[in-house]
Amino acid sequence: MSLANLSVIDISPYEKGARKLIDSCGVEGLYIDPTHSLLQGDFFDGCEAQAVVQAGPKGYYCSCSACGVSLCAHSSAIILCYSEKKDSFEQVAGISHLQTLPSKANPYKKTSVKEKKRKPLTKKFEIMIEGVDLSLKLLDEILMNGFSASDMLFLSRIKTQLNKLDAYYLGGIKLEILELLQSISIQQPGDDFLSKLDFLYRLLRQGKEELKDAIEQQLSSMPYSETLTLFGHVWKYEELLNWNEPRGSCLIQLNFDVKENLTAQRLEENSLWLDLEHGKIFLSQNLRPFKALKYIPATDTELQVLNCKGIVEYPGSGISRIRWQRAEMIDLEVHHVKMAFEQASSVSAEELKALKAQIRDGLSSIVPHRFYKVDRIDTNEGQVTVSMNGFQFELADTYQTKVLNTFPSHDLENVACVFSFELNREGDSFLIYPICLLKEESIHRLGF
Amino acid sequence: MNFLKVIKESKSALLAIISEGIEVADLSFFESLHKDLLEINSPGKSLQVFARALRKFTEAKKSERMQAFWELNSLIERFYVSLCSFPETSQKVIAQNVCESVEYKNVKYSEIKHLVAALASRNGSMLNLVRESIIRETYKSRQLVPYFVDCLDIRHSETAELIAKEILPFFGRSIVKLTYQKIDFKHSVGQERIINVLLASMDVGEKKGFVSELLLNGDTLLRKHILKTVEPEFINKRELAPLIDSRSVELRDLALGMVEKYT
Repeated sequence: MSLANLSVIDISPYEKGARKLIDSCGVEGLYIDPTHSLLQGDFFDGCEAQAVVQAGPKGYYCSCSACGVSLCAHSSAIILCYSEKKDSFEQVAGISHLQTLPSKANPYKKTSVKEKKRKPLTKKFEIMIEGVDLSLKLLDEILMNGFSASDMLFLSRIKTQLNKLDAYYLGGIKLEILELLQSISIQQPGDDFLSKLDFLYRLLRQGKEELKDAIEQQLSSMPYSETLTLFGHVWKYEELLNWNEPRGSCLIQLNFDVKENLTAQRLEENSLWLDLEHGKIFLSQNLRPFKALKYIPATDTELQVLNCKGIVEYPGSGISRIRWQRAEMIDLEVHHVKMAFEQASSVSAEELKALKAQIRDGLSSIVPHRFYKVDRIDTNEGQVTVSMNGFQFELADTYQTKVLNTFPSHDLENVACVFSFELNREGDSFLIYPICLLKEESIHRLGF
Repeated sequence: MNFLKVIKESKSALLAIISEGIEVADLSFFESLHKDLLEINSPGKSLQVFARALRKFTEAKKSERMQAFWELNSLIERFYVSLCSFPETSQKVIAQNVCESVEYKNVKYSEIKHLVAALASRNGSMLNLVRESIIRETYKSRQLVPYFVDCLDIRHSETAELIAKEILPFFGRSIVKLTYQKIDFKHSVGQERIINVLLASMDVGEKKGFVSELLLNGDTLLRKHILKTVEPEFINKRELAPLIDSRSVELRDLALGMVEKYT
């Protein structure tokens, strides 16, 4: 059957939608394979569909989950393009994914990630840059107007505009700005409001630069950057494999906590892990939207050692977020704890300077964690002091610190401890939280 | 010039500006600050950078002011974090915590999450959950100690009593430090219970010191409670003398009774 037969196909039910598609986002990667009478086009309309049309009865396939193998707006748009601008199709022959139209037996098989990555995501990056500009404009508008003067009408208009950010693949930015607006409506903003503004501004600027670079480099996958994660990009395991060599390692859980993120409407289960081989601290997250709580299994405290295979890291400069392909449990034994204990490093002035720089310059939403050797910890009437390598710090008053009061003094000498560091704007100082205590032969969680 | 103070004042001024709206804001604070900075002899590099950013912000046209604001805000934030310090303390604290080792149990979060939530929010399901934790022995988790101690002063006495009598004895002397932090010498809800828990967990020396401290600094109600519950051997005779002259008849009688017990 020849491509001339395409003109007979009745696309009238989808014509309006197809035109809209072409006008709004256009069609990229138009290919024609005359030998097999195939047409192909990519759409970046939110579905990120790849449609293939073959001349002949029911010769349509669309990777969009809503379309499948019936004629759809995407397929119609390709036929429309073919009838109007034949020249815009690039002639190809012998390309595997064009030659084989998906079989009826597996009609909903989506184009694999590897296949998609062949073409640059220029269109998507351009849309995201547009979104970044829109976000900056919105922030400027809020500040120009002044938040004390912003009435309900103004805020609702901003919120309507914010909702558009999803279409620009900037769900994360939408949530950040919404959180900012909520904080204004609840109370008079303080110092942290300015820091959040600065964070957002730097994030948007840096993200924009990275997206521009990605366009220049004609990247066919998302750039490996934490800003993109903060923009709301959900990394698939396969995507991370592009940037990481998967490895195996034994992990010990140091802490587990669950946070309710009301703005994002989800439960965030965070586990902190210590890599027994490298002594590095990692974070794993299980994000469970409230709407899908019963479908996503909960994670929990792990009291055993996890022997993980296929560990990949998410992009990020601070504490690395990881995920793995599979893991098996091993009973925690003394030699594991000894191995972990030996990984602790000594605190130094340079180390503290680097830590400060990380808090100051980093764009990470995760506070830095460090695993230090500790000479002794003293508890005295609510004040807990940690002495390490000549430094003496007061620990923040938190329930983990209170747990330290239950240890006899001799148990708090020559230990190792994982600390997290946070900025305390009221006291113009950093707060140090103890997370987990390790002795040569035992491990004591201060949290859950 | 205290640079941290200047940075903090600048932050407040920036907040005021964005509250009003940058378009109509009064920039006089930054103008005068810029002038002050210019008058400083041989300013450091940070001050020079700061002064430049201030000038850019105050002299910017309306169309460029937003950009200048972002730059200034970023700079102020960076200076601020650089000036913040780690909570270093020179105070030498050597406080011995002598307590026997307790057979704590490693409990998973999923097993105690409801109990933790109930104890933290002090909601109505606390009593049932505490009972359940006693049956399942999940209360033996070290992480729960601060929550249990914190709940000693709750109004719902049944739960607090259950914690005081059934749970806290398991932890022995390891709770002394934490519980002592909850002592309020002015009488308030649950103080008698906290005192009883402490007295049950302390050794003889600690007990004597604690009783003496309460008789000296405590509220009349707390003093009465001590005189009613504590054995005479833990009370120092000298501390009874001022109580005999007390205006409270009951306290006076209790103190006299204690003196009689001695003799």
